[in-house]
Amino acid sequence: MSIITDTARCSLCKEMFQASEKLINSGGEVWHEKCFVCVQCFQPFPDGLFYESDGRKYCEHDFQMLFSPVCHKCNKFISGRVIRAIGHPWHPDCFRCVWCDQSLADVGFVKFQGQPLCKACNTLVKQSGKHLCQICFKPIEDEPLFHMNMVVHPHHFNCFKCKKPLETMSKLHCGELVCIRCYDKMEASICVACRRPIEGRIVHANAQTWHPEHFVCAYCEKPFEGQKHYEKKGLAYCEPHYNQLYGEICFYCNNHVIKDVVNVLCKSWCVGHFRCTACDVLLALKGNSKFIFYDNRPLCRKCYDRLPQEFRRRLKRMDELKK
Amino acid sequence: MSRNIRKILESNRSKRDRELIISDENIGSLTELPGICSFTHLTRLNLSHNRLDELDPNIFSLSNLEYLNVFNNNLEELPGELRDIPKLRELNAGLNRLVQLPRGFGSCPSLQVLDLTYNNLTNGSFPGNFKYLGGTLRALFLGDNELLSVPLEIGTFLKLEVLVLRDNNIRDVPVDIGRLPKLKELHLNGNQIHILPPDLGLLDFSNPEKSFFRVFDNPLIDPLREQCESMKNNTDLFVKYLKSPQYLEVYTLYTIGVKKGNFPPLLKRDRSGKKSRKTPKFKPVEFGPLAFGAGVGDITPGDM
Repeated sequence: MSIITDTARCSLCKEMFQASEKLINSGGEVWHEKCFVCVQCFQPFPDGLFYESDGRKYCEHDFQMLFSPVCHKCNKFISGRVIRAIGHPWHPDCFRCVWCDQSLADVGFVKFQGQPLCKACNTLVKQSGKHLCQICFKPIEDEPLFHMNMVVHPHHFNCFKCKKPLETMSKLHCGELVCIRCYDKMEASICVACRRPIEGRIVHANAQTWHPEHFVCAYCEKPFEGQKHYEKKGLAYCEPHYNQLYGEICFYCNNHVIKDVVNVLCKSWCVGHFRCTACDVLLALKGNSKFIFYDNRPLCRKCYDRLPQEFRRRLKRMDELKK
Repeated sequence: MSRNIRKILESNRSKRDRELIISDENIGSLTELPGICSFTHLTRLNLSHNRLDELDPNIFSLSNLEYLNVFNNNLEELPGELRDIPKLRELNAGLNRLVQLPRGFGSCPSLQVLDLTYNNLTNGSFPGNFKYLGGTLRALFLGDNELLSVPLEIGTFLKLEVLVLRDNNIRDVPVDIGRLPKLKELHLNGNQIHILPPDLGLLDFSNPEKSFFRVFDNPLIDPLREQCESMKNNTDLFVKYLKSPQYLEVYTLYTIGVKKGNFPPLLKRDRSGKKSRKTPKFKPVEFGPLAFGAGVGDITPGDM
């Protein structure tokens, strides 16, 4: 023992050993106890376990840090067998089909959207047209969220407003993802009638928004369903009830004009009541049937010709004076 | 009775058609329409362009009648029994020779439209109870008559929407007209009106589509005439002018001020050519329709 101590020098510091000093012998070389450390972290090897590379000794941790591949799935160092696929190293056990979790180490695999799939799942995915989430690489069963050029599960994101994970439906508001409920509150139209947000078709009327089924006649409360409506004092009415409440009054029958209205000569008439003042013949507004104004009432051509000549002359003069 | 009329009557009787039009059939009397007074199902009866010189008083038995048109006939009077037709809403007796309205005419219970255009009515022609029509009347046509002033108590016609006083000899417009709440049409042209009361400015003629005001062809005082010409058809502006303090000044000036009564001369008008003034020399009683086929226009002028 003493002989060694006398002649041997530390492999690292090349110094002599003191008589009382401990020395460590490993592989035919000796070290001071303080010199027998990892070349990277200068710490003694835990449990005396070291790894050697290029004649230098490393502790397990540093050795792995420097030289071991890291599994792409579990992010742990791989010692032993390494699978290199799709540009990454994997533990044989970690290299699995992202869909059915079958181990792919010893069978063939297909790269799908940058992820390994077994052949069976690949055909299945291609057929169903489903997406793979670009965050968890699991297939997206429900509606995918397209965000920042990625297809992802909605639940990987939180609503910008209420901070809850997004559900299937979500909207982009000012570049931020928000859940549909918050979006409705912030942006979407609220039905004036039921005070609930409107999804789907919106009726805009009276500078307000409505569910189509809530946009109703203020009188009979039947939905308009795309039919004409008439507005009065901020309320909408269907045609018959608008006429009933506010419509034109026929000069002949003194009732509200029900359907089409003839508006001439400062008066209104039901179409069926727009008749010659003298002979009662129905006057058509279209076509060639002309009528002559007579005290702001209509007179058919025939009856006009029956008027006394003197009166016709005066009617003509009145027309000229008017002009 | 011609075959044509018989056909019309029989067809109506069998169908119980509520409308009967016997227009331009040269009928001289209701006796030529046998049984017409029993057509109680009728709501509209049109006898225009005939030669009727009187209406059978039995007409009141047409208890459902709502509309009676005797336009362009030779009527000199209307039966007083008209007031007994409960539902009569519209009476058109224009172009006749009426000089007088029957007594009690004002009590027609539901008359809304009364047309007496082109008759010989004067201020004395209206019965004393005429004002009671004011409760129902919507339109009153008195154009082409001989009125010297607007019938009294026009202010009671609160439902009146149309008032035609065109071509009469009216000198003064009563202030009451301005207080008719529903008036939308006022024809005053062809009279002898010098000045309009500022009260007419109270009328709502703001909607050009629904309002009508005519006052041309009158010897208006210069300021009014100028306004009238400059504003052409803009009734609203003209009515607003009547309301303005500016016009009130003019009005006072001409009515009680320095220019009092300084009105332009009356316009000369010859109304002798009016057909309603002519009376037939003889009353054709039992002529066949062929003899008078050309219609009323050919009747020889009388001495009037």
